[in-house]
Amino acid sequence: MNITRLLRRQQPAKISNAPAALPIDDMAVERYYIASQRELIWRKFRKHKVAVISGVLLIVLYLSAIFADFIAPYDVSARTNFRYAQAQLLVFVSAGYVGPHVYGYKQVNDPKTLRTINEIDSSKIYPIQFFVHGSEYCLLGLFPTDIHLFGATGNKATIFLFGTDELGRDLFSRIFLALRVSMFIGLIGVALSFIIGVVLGGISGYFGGVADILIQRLIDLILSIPTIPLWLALSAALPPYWPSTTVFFGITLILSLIGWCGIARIVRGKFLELREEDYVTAAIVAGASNRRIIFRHLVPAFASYLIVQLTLSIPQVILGETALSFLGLGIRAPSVSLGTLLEDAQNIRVVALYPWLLIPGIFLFLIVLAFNFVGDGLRDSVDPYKQ
Amino acid sequence: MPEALLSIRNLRTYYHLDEGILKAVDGVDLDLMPGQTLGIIGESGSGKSVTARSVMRLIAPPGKIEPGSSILLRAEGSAPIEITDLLADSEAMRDVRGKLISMVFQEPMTSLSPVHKVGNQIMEAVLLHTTPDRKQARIITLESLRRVGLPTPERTFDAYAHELSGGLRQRVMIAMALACHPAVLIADEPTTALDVTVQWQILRLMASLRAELGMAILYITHDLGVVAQIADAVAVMYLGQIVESGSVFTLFENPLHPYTQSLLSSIPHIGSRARGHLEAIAGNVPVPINLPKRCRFADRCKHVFNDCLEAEPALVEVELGHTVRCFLHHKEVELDR
Amino acid sequence: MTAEILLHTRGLKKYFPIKKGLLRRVAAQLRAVDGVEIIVRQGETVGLVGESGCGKTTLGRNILRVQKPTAGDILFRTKDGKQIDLAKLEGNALRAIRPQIQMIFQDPQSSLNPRMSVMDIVSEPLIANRLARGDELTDRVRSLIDRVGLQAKHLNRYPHAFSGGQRQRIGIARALITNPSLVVADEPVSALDVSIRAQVLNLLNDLQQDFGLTYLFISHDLSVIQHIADRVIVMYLGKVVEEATTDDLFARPMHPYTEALLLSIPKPDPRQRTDEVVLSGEMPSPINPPSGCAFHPRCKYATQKCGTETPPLREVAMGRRAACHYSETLELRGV
Repeated sequence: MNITRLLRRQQPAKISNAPAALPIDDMAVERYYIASQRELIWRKFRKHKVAVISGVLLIVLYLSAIFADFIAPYDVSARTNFRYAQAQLLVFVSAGYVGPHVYGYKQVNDPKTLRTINEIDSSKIYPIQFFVHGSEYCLLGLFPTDIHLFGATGNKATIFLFGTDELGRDLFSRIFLALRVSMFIGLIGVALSFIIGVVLGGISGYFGGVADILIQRLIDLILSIPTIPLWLALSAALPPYWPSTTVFFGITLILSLIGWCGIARIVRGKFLELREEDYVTAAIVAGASNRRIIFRHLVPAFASYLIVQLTLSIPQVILGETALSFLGLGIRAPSVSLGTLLEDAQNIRVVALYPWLLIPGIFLFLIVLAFNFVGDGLRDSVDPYKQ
Repeated sequence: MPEALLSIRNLRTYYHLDEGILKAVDGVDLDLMPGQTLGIIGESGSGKSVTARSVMRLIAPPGKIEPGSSILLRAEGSAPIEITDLLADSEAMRDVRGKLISMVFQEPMTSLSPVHKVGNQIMEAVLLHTTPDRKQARIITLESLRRVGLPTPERTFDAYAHELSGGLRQRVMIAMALACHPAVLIADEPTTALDVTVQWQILRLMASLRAELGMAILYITHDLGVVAQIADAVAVMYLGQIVESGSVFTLFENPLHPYTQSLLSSIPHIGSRARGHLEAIAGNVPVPINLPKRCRFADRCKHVFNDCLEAEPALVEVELGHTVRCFLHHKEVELDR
Repeated sequence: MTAEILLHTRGLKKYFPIKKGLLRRVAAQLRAVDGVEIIVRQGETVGLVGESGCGKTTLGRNILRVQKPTAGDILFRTKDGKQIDLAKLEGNALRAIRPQIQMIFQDPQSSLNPRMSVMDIVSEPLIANRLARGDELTDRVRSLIDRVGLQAKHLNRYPHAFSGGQRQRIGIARALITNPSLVVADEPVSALDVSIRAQVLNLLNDLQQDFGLTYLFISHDLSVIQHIADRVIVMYLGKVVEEATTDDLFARPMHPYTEALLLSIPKPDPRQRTDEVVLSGEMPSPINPPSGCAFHPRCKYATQKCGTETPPLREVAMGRRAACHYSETLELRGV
């Protein structure tokens, strides 16, 4: 039995040190002194090149997701006759035309397999123009318009930058529209987990007692059930007649139901640890109410830590949704997510013949990697003991 | 004139940070004679701990022992070893650590592994340096536990660090440090975190072990009382330099450097009831980055005058065995090395 | 004329139950504070000394009502002359009294919230108790910051910008902003550099005179206690073993533990070195204290009686109490 921990023995603390190494000139010194904890964290974060680049990439992707309708040249379910067409790569200079353009297709019959293949025909040149008219949509859900960022001009012009799928639908457009679902499901799912987790974890950690025991056992129960089968069961239980947006929220809810457990445990742990800090005792002695202590002292203390956790949890939710959709139990048509796009690439024949169908996987990979780098960078910046 | 066991010459340990070069130790010369206890007094920022770690080659990047530093160990029964020539994690250095030079730290809880029995941790050192025979090593370990005054060595052998009190843990640390009979023991504030009666016991233990084993001790502390009780010679450090050194009697009876004098007069002395103001030293310890070329104590010194602000004083022997770095007592200026 | 009694604890106990087993049954009690009676008078500095495990820190925290005592009274005289029992207060009644009893912490690193500016930290007690607002608040904080040796430009800086000594000054300002009558200082200089300690001790001395404060000064460092305290209370294993004025205690202790404590202090004089044994053995566990006098297993002067009869804390001389059967007859050495 460790008496030390029980009694909080006041052993003489180590001699405290003078402030850490200081910048040289006076203005810099003053900036360092006035800098709040948040600013110091930001400065440290800025030094992590990889994390910063990843952060920028994520911001670009999220903006693309928001403006997906604008960026995508085609509608999500627009079918064409160009099935399984190869990617029309961007070219800048070729005989007869200078400027951004793509080559068109010619349809040939493959003698061996008797299929129609869309081959790239460099004689057909479709120049690319910006801000063209295309299918109608609502920008940001509010402004009806039909302007798209770019499009190909010319008779029967097509611009499939990533090729097409089995039904002739432009993969590029579908990917960007899928980003919207995949990336925001990550954010919303984690936000829900966060709210539930902080509230329950906070009650557990701050008040203790019976509430603590009950909540902890509930978490144990939920975590003891294998995750993917649980998700599958819950999502299979969603009524088939629900519209796809409602399904979207249903899936989000399901994913966050598991996620809150991890956050609750972390929050509880942090509360238990921080409760013993001297400055919290000082606040009690000063006469602060419970509410003030929680919101003014405890929450800010672990907020940065929590943000790190959230950043690292988002890819898990995204992958969870991808897994569900990949298995056919997630987002339903006509909505698309990276998972549903990958569903099309499930069999080996398809992947061997039409490898561009795996491009959604590359996007997924980049997103997950970027979140992990940002999360790592944040964690290193927030850790007070790392030099 | 007997040769010094450990000779440190021009030791400079700099930390290369983004903000500049932090000169934690900036030109330290020390001699530790066989069987002698040398006390190093300093506060935080003085560089005393970094000096000890430099001798043990425990300095990690961005810290570096600068070229031109020399740490020479002349242990009996082996050729003189220039420690700065060895690589920090080489086998040669590992041979030095534990066998020739040992170290005891301030916080035994963080120096002992929580998942191994303390006996096994001591035995690890014995197996490495003294004998590969496990039975023999166990006997040596039990002997070293007994020697540090533990009443039931067998039971303590099987204990884990958290099961022992602070005083017992420190005894275990000392047992570990002395298990292989090193020539030099470096003690870095070993009793600072202990209660006063426990500290008294540990100090007594170290004195008796020194008498029994004859090792030299480099004792680092900020506590003037401890130094008065245990040291033969004393060096006072401030901002990476030695500002005064001499025998313990000389230093307490006739301190020359204003910093030493202020230290002595600013501590509440037990037995004196001067219930009024203590003579505090004004100001704070500055950070040793980009220090101007002048006496480093000038900002806080009561006796500062013009010369002090123009050049750095050198460490000069002003009477037999008593050196001081202060223009009040000599006129020599520190040369760039 | 003796000053008014500001604080009087009676039979104060704080036990921590030790739970074992799957059903968390209470197996034993850790007796951190085991029946303590102390009196603190207006304007004095009472030093509370002892080593780890003696209960002095727990006693301090119980007086401050950071913890709730297991048993006993804490009688406190409020500013309007009423005597209340802190041990029985809860909730809003407790919060109402808090401005009058404040605390200075040991560790300057952890006692200030790193995310709050100096202004926020020092003004919090005023805001939490709605004692001042706006300009009045700013003025009060400014003048107190100035008084503790810092400057106005420090107000919007954060704790990481300050040294240990400066942080301790901020902590002192926070403790004094509500004009408390009693300040519990829990090892306020132990974590500071030697040369800074003097500065802070001088400051505490000055502030006591300026504001008419009463200090309960907890420390393990007897040299500091001798310098700053008027009276000293020595604790061992949850109980008070001796109490006397500082001069009396240090000149001639009347409990063997006090003697051992005084003799253990290393004197900063190399000519005074001694070889005699002062104290052997380890501090026993507060879960299972020895029978009779808790100190008897380690006491040089112990007899049979000491192991069977617990000596009560009694008056052994004028204005002095000690918990030893032989206080009057033992000729103990002081410093």
